[in-house]
Amino acid sequence: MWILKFLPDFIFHALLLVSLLALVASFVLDSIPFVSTNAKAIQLASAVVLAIALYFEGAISDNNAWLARVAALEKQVAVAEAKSKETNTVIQYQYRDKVRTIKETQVVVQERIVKEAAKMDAECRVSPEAISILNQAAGSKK
Amino acid sequence: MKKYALLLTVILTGCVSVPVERKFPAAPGEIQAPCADLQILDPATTKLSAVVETVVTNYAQYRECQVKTDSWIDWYNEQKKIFESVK
Repeated sequence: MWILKFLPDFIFHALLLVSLLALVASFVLDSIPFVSTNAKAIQLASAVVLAIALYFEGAISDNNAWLARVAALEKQVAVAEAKSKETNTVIQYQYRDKVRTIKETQVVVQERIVKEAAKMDAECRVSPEAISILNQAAGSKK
Repeated sequence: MKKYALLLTVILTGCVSVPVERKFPAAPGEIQAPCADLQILDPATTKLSAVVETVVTNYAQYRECQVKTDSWIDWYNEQKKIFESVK
């Protein structure tokens, strides 16, 4: 409620207290001339103010409950963000580690190809059709 | 009387807004790079060693892409768990 942002809570507490005291006084303090002559008006005014003050007391209580929930949620979000970053770091390390293993294996395999190339090329001659088929298969990205 | 009713309505009006902002988590930059294209053989070659070398390179590229996809799956599952833990 926007008005709670502008007015401090103690105003509504004070209104509640004053209206309650005024209402009680209008019934009890008959001996005081001003009170006895304006009892009805005081009762009506204090009842209206009491109702408004009670409404705002409820609003303050509800507002505080929501603020507490927001604070708790903000804390949870902060923890989740930290966990999320931590997860990213772990996944990044795992990815780098696996890629490094692949590259190392590739180096070993290529060394073997270099070593065996002469033997492979002497025993086998690849036909242009085979090359064309392989290129067609490798090129079809869509 | 109408003025009082209007004033009371304005005073008692509540505005609802979402005060807690959640950011979509960013994935690691390395896994966001697209997979490389497969290598093509030189159409003029007849050497088996050239074919094997290209095939081996393509296997390695596939394995890299597989690791990338697996990382995305891990990333999604972990982030989903973290997201759902906030209630």
